[in-house]
Amino acid sequence: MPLKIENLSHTYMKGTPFEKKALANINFEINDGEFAAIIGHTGCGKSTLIQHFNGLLKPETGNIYIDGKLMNDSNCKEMRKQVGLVFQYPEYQLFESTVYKDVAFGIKKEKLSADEEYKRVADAIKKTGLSEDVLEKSVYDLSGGQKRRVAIAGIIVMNPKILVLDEPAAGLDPAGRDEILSFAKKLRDETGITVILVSHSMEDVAKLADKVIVMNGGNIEMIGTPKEVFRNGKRLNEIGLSVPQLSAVFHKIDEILPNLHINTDLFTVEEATDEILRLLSKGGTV
Amino acid sequence: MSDFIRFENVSYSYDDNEEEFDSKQEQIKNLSRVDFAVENVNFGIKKGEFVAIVGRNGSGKSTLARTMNALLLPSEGVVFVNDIDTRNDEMIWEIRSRVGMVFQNPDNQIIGTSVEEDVAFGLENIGVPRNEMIERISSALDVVKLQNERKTEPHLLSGGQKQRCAIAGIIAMQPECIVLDEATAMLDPIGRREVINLIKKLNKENNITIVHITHHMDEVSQADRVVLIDNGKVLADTTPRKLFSDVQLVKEAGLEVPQITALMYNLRKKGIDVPNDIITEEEGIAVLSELLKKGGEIQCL
Repeated sequence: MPLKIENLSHTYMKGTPFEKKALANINFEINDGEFAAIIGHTGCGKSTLIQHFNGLLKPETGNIYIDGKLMNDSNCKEMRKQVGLVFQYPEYQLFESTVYKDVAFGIKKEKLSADEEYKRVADAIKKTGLSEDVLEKSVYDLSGGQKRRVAIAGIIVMNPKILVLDEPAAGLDPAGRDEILSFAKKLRDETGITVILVSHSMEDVAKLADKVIVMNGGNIEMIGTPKEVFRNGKRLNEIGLSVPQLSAVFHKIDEILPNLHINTDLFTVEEATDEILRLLSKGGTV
Repeated sequence: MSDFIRFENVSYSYDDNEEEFDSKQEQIKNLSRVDFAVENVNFGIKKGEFVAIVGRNGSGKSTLARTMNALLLPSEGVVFVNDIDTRNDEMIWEIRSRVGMVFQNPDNQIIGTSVEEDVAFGLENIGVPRNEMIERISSALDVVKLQNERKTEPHLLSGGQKQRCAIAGIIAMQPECIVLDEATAMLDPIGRREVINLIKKLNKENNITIVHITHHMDEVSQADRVVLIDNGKVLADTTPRKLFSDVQLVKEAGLEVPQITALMYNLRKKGIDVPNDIITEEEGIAVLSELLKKGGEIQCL
């Protein structure tokens, strides 16, 4: 489902001495089925922004369109259901005695039959890459990465059309991080859900996102594909971000050996390996 | 030189410390094998070392860290801090004044209503005279570069600033060792860089022993030594360079090597002669540009 943000501004504690402009005239669009990433230094307004996506915060000025419909006070509740928002460290929100009960909590009000409810819960848990066996376990018997996936299943079960993940990999080990992120990618590829990822890992963003939205001090700094965005390494550094390690290395090599015309638009180890091999087999360029 | 912190056959089980078991549960517990979070760990950390501890989630890293200043006491074995047994109740404050700890979430460890008050908290507790307190706070804030923020309310700081504020609170206590338990996990790239540069400075200039637990392999590259924990046991205790050259072991432990190391590994697999112990960007740039230059010359001949 597409999401459009138009002239969005937000000020915290307006009219007090602590007034702080968190968002200033934000405009962008995320298309249906797109995997978008939002990056920016801590305190740049990312969390404020995503809380507008499902009406947890109301725009001070500006509009939010979900699936082309303007969000307002009267339809906010309905529209909120389309947008699943997974906060940072969602595992801290688990509270039920079993995994099943926790995941099912969000659909209790739908008054489904027991069978129907079980189907939805089992389906959600499987989508996150966990097996049905965990449903009867206590959430405390799970590892950090598993707990987090249970928390995400609690959102997926409500069938959102847009899934917003706020730093889903923070604090996870590399294997856990890969699991969570490949789950998000797979979910998008299989169901066509729109995914919005907030992340501090430039490597992950480069690998996964179709579109990268770069924020700085409550403004949009740039929007583009990972290739377009990560070409601006200098600017990204200035605003508290960085480029993936291999991009930085290849840019440096390009400075040292400009005649080589090395391709610097690459982010993954595989792409980098191929590029080096290509240059070596071609040779004669220096 | 003797070890500043020493683990001797240290095991820790969370089950053991649930004292209020009724007899029935006690029986069940005795039947099942005790589940150790940390099992039979032996190693020492020397004064002035910068040691990284890595391992997957749930491997026992944090448990181990908490035994370093007696937040947890080993179920079996002994932890010595500066030759003091951490089980010695009377010495607990002595131990904690020597080993400070920084946790993952900056919001959970800041309590003052301004930066300088937060830094003062620990000093007030140990009854440092006011004049000395002002001096110590000021120099701690100098070290972490938060002097200009000293009157700021902590919740207005960025993540990196908050962690630096937490570290200042510890520096003011003048510890000999700082343990950082995933203190960079919640930070953006600049925040991480700030904290890493700061702990490197404390290590090199002030000779403070650093124990840094992290999932970021590029941070591990900065350490003198790395201890890999898996399933509560020490799986490797070596230099970052040696650890990362064993790509297979690192993967099996649920971790990864820095991108640049992985690139070298791939190139070697393709039969290209590059070193297998490249761990920093600078080294990678040097090796690759040399390789590509040579590649060109060969073709030119």
